[in-house]
Amino acid sequence: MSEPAWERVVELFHSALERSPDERAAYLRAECGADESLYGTVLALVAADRPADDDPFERIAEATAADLMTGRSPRALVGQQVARYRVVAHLGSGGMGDVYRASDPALGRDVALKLLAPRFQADANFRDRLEREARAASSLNHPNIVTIYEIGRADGYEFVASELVDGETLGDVIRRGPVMVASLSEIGGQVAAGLAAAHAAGIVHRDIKPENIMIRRDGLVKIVDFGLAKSAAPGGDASAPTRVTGAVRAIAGTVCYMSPEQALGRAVDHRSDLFAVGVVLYEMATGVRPFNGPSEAALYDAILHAPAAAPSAIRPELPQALDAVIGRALEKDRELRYQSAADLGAELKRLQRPLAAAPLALPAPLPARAVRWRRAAVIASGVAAMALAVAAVRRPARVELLPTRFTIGPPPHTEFTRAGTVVPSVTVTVSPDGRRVVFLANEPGAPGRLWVRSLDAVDAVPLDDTDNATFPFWSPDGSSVAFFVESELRIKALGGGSARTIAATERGRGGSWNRDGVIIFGTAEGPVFRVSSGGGVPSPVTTLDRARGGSWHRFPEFLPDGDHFLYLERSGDTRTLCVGSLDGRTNTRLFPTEVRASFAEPGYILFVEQGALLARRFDTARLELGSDAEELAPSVATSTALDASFAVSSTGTLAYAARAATKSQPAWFDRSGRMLANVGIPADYLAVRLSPNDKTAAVARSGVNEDAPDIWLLDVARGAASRFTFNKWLDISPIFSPDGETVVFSSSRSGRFELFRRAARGGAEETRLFTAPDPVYADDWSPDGRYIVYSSERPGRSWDLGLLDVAAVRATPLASSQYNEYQGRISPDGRWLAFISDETGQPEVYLRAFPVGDANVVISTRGGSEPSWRRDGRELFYVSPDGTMMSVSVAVAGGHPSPGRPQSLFRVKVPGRSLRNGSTYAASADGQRFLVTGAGPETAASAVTVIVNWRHGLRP
Amino acid sequence: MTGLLHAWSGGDRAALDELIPLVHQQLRQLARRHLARERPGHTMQPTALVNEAYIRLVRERGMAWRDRAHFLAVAAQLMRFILVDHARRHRYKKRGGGAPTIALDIDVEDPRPAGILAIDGALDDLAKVDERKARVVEMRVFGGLSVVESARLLGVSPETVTRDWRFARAWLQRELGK
Repeated sequence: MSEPAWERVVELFHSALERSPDERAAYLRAECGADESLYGTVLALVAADRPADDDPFERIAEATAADLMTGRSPRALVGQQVARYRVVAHLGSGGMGDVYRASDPALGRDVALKLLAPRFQADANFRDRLEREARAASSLNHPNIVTIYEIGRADGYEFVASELVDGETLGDVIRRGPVMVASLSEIGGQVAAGLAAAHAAGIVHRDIKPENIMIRRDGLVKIVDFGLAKSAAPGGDASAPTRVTGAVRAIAGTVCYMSPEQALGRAVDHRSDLFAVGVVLYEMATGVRPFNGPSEAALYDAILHAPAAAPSAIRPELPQALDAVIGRALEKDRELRYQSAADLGAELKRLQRPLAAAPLALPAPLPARAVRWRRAAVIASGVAAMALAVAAVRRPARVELLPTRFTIGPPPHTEFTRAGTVVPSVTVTVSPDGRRVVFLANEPGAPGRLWVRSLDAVDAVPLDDTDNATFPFWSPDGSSVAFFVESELRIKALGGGSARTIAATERGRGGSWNRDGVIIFGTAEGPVFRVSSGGGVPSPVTTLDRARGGSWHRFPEFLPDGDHFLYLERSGDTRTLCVGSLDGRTNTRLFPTEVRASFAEPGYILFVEQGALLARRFDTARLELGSDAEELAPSVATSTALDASFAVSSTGTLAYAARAATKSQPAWFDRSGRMLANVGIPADYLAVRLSPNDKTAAVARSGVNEDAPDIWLLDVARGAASRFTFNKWLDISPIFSPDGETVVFSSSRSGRFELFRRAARGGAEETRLFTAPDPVYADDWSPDGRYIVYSSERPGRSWDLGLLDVAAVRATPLASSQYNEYQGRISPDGRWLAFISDETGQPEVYLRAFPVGDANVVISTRGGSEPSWRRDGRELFYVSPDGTMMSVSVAVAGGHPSPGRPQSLFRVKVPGRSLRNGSTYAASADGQRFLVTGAGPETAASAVTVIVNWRHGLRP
Repeated sequence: MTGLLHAWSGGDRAALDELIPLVHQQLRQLARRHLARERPGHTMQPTALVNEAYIRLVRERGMAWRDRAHFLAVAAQLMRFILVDHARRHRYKKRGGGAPTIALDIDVEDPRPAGILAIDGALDDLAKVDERKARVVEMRVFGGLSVVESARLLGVSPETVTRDWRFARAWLQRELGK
């Protein structure tokens, strides 16, 4: 997009504002003619105009001053008392403040405690608004509106205590993919019912969006955050239009759900809420939003003028009746929309009629091979299932033992912590009595910690002092959990207290604890060790078979005798499940398998084969295996550390998480974000690089049912792909030499990421190029061919950039500080290095002289990653934190680079995660086209399936 | 930053060189004092801090400034600098640690706007296309200058400052909402 002339924008802005709100769009249309960019830009600016007395920037400046003055941060409040509430955890940050989970000792219940941010405390405007929200909502008594308990002021805080909704937001649900029609009409109907009650009381919500709709575990829907709600009129006439105050919209900032009248700054009424519900329904049905645009201006324009594509055009299986309902809710002219929430609710109910009353949560798919399960399984969800499960556990002898399955999601406001990234896996382990599970979950951006969930309780409880825990395992009595953190093995008692360090260990990989207080654990690059649960110095109990190229023993697990144990051995290029014993005398190889396996009473080994979870008979006395294997689950997640997302108790409770789909389709895009052509197949892509002549792309991608990515070469004209590396270890970060003849990449084949090289035409063997004490990833090759820039990861510390002299194979540090530096990209003239550093607290793109120089020039303005040069060195691309492709012109004057202002080009990927040692796009030499691999949605594993009495589903 | 100040200080370089460290020190001291007091719920506006610094420097040092507006304009830039610096440090502190990763690290980026850092970045952007409008925002938000004072320092009419202010607010609003 070309940038409209600044003077013209300023002039049109002021003259549009001299006109009445209703005339502005038409005026600008006439003035701008065919210049869509100018029209969109000015329209967005006019919509952002605020009354003079309303200045959010001063408030934000005050906010920072307040933080500076008080030293407050949201997390600092945890454990403190506010009024009579004790703050337990920080749940999230909203427009006007932070929301905490707090306990109310007086009534013995937990509440959601919303505190007005310190920055707004002094502002009467904001205090009023918070109070207005609370009063508006508290005047409503409806099951679909969150209940307000108390509004108050204490200890210098304005606060609102409300019902704590145990569940997740509709946003969480939508992120997992489109919602079934039955669920959609059920959820939509409840939202409509809540809104009908609010509208009847003269209250317009004004900020309906998926994040403001909570779904309790039992399926009850609650509308939260009447933060923008305003009594429509003193007389209570909900249809009388009122004006939204400026700053309110400024803070909400969710343009996507804005009605056309809101976008124009016109009066808003209850029908504006119904439009927003239409957007939400659309998103539930299709997984995408109805109005989109590469820029905000374009988004405004779409809301105002563009008709949304019919949902059935996106997902053909959707009924036409749903198109009609959503289409009417999304009418631009509010006179043509549903005129009341009740009407909309009734229409949504009608959608349900031809369908059977389906449960809200869909059961996980049944295993295809275990046919008997189809008849025997009791499928239920939520609390009912848990009650069943517990009944089955407690009275195993008297009830008919049916396998019972249900799913548990991450606690509200958290996600399961991903172990590994190629395919996200979930860390889950079941207590010896089968009544509790422990899993790893984290708030977005925060370290993962352990949570324990009793299967007969509704909530999971976080375990203090377990931040960054990995590979947890239970004590035999179920009173404690052991885990690894950094280079220590720790034990945490569930009863409380802080975690106790038992032993020092390098990179622990799974452990087990017997009744005699002996703990055994595996290591990333060593044998199985033992140590007393009371603490001590670990001693090895297995011996690596160096002669056979053995390099580690991981995931030991005691067999029932507490003496023998299973473990996974790597020997050369194969992994084998083995049995060892504490006295070191037993050393039996069972069978080759790829990832962790587990013993299950009364005599099975549970293991993963081709992505499925299987059970095989195992005689522990003779250490003999049965010949058949039966499938327990068609899909189970595994991690790059070779862990697998399942666990089983001796009482027959099995928990597992299925693999999440992360496939994306690589495609060419032009600078405006228009898709030009697909290239290759959908798969899990971790990196993409173009050869110097733009004809070949080197990608790191994983195959079907295979977590470990290989390097593939794509012929970008024909789309043909040829596999370039062949092994079950991780091959990532490919780069081309300047002549395009050689590909260098990182591989973990010897246990740690090293650099390998191979001729791009294939043929010759791969040769090891460079090994360092830490994992290294290839970043870029200098144009003269002399150097390779690489990122290295000091485990537990920071990422640094290094420079490898290719001919001499000599490495020197390039950028190493306490902060993370990575993704080095050398300019085409070989004089500058673009790279990422997070020294300001967020990743930004910097430029410095290459190969020597430490004066950094910051390129990005609000975060950035994945820099890449246009081949003439005059333009630099990067990806902003919200996933937008950015462009910066780079001129060099007097030996100093002078970057221009970053311009956004198009949305290139979903915001959020990105790999430091990966890449999601490659720019063509002329900078006109982008080969993008990361455009598709990325789904984390979202549920753990628990099966009680798993073995009763097997053939007898 | 000093370069910016020099550029529009009207050539009074010696005075300015003396001014900057003094104002900076004064602002920091004031911030620390308020920090020590820690009164929850009682916040301090940056503009009030700047004004307080001015009164103290005049009273305690008997220094004669060209005028109050000139002082406040310089202090506004310093205030912005101090707040941005604070926010950066604070963010870094808050973001220590991170999700554990095995074998392949993931970089969890926070897509939320960063308050003062976002304003700072947006103001830099604005200054690149329209220096005066950015200066108006700085004077008003961080310095507490009135429209008339700003107009005099920038050598334009008060009406122009009012228009600049209105446009700049809409522009920033849009930038921050992105």
